[in-house]
Amino acid sequence: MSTILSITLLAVQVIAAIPDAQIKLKPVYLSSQQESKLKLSGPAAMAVARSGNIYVFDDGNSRVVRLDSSGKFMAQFGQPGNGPEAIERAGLNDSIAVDENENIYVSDPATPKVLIFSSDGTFQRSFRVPFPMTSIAVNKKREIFLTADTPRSTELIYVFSETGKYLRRFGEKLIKSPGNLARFMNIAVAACDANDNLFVAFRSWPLIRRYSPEGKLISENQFTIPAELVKEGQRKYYSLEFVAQYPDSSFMPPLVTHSISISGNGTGYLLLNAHSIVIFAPSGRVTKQFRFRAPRDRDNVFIRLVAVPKAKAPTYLLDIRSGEIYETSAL
Amino acid sequence: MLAKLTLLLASALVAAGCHLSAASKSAEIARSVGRVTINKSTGNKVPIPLGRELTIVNVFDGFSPGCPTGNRFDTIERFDSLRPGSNVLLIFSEKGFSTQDVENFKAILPMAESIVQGDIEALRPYLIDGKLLVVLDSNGQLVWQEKANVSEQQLLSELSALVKQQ
Repeated sequence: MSTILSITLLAVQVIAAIPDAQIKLKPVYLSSQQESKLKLSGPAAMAVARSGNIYVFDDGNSRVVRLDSSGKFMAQFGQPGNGPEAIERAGLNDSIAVDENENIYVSDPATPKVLIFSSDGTFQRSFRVPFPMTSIAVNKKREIFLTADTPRSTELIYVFSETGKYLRRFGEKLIKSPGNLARFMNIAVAACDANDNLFVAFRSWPLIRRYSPEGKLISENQFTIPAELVKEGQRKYYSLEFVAQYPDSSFMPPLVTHSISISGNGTGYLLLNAHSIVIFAPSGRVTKQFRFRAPRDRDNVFIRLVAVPKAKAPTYLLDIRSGEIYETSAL
Repeated sequence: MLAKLTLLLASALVAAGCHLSAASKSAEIARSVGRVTINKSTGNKVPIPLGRELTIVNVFDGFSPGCPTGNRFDTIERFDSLRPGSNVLLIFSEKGFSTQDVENFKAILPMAESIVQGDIEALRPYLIDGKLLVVLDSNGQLVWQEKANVSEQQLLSELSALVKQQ
């Protein structure tokens, strides 16, 4: 009974006004102020290591850039072209992760494959997967979690070993019908916490799932869809029932969950539609949600909010359009 | 009048040329398919095994950004469910995929028994976005081949219609 009630509740979204909040944004890397070879071009994803090093998937340049915590350019690796070592394009996918030993994992949904680099940027290996993926996460055991973008009615998350061997899959899709809208609604982003739990958020449905390291669903928690995103005429279409009934509808859900990240103390962060943040507890329960403003003289389009995987550490925001990175403290 | 006749003649020549060119390309593909081999677990390389009726062969060397892999696998899977028992073979190139990649695909995709690795180099010039689907009869003759810029839905329809005719 409780399961049925829970599913019914979560099938109905909450649309409401959310408060504004001031957050301090300290510039860490401003592409416009760098020499040309150091400029980022459409940076798609970002990961931060325990050491504080920042890794950016510089999509337009088919490379990974390593910055130190102050934003100083340290190294770059990866190359365009074909072959196992080549990075094609990430698009808007959250396609970089870093493990405890600072190995770097890049998912290239174009080819699609996963590339693994050691901390000094040396290419280790790559392996192919039979579907494009929308995000990548890695746990302490160096198991690689990919959220699949496939119309097939299979599980949501596929797990591979660090050597590229397929291990298991789990997670129920939101909508099991085939169809473009259904496929879009099933797109998800994922991140691991320090205890190897996996948190998954759907790109266009306000839901956070927490899975055990073995893939058992532990909790589902909702957050609020900011009212400003949803036009009055859209509300009647914006339900899982509608999508299940019309999985090929041209309706475009207005919510975009760009990224999910977990800090060292287990606090989780979602970035929504470039300028909203959801904060959740280690249990997955939502504790705070607010909208923030970009710096006054900027017109930033933030697509990633990434926490450093250690306690009392800052988070970083990545802007895809101008290639700017800001440190945000005390969220 | 002369101009009209010239135009007509030119059109006929172009049409005949195109036809000959397409036929010639099909013949080349047919010959090339005959040179494709698949890897057996014993380590031997053998020609494509033919069914008693049609054999649907999809070779893969890579997947282009515009053609997500999942779509083709989905198409083949849907075809298989529409026409269960069809002889389907998915051949992954040795250059584009490791042995482990292919083992992973067998574990992940629903048609494990149809997935093999092989030498598809003879077909490389004819790949469309890193892949090519062809249909062979029981004698290994090319019956049908994938064309460029055809949607997965259309491909599925053509394939289903072809198999239905048999």
